[in-house]
Amino acid sequence: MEIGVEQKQGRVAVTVLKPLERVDGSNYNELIAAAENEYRSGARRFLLDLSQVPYMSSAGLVAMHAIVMLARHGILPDEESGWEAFRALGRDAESGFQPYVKLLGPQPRVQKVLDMSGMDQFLEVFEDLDAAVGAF
Amino acid sequence: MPAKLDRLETMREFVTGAAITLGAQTDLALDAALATDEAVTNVIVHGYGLDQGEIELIMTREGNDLVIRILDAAPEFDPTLVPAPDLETPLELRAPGGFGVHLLRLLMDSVSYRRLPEGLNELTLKKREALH
Repeated sequence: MEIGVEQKQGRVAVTVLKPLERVDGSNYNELIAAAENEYRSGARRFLLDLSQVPYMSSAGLVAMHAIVMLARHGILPDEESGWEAFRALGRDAESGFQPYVKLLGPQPRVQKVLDMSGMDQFLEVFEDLDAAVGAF
Repeated sequence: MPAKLDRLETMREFVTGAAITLGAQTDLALDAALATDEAVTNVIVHGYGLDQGEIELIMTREGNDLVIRILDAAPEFDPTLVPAPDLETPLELRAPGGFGVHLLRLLMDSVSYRRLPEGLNELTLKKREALH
């Protein structure tokens, strides 16, 4: 997957990840890997620019969830460990938009997936890059 | 089609085109493609465990209903028994996954499973009054 990476500075440093193609089961891991690579370089806040993503399945949601977990806890979720691993991470998360990952410019079909999945409750969506960066 | 993740895009193009040919509007055809993607991805990842396998897609019209049958030879697995994900718990506290079957149920009017006598899984997706 071709992914653009850019660093922006608002109140805090924001790493913008911009996939340049569809996100599905065949390539979502590459988006996670890109975030992990940036995390190792010090990134702690991520803006996913979805403006060039014409299609996203639930695999894209898994990638977003993983990046939230990475930014919040410094580790990636392990699907094999189930609920125990998550309970061990603490219960200090608040409801509503989480502060680690935001979304920019999802196309209508991608927005539909976000709405249906309920992820729009936790992932704040912006249409303007500067507004998105400033919101962190 | 071979049960491989890199075939998903080709599969989606097939489903979208076939749905439109059968009489579906574009938006509905795209919904059908997404639903099929979710189902097929589950077969590839959880059914075959990314091992070798084949998946058969059959798309038909029943009256004005669009019917998609997905057949595979993976071990018996009924995706309709997968519980709905917890959509209320904050992301940081939630186990990953579970969205695929959830989307499938929202996109299609009917999702049914049966194990065929010849040892195949058959998942049937139906969208009512989708074809004109």
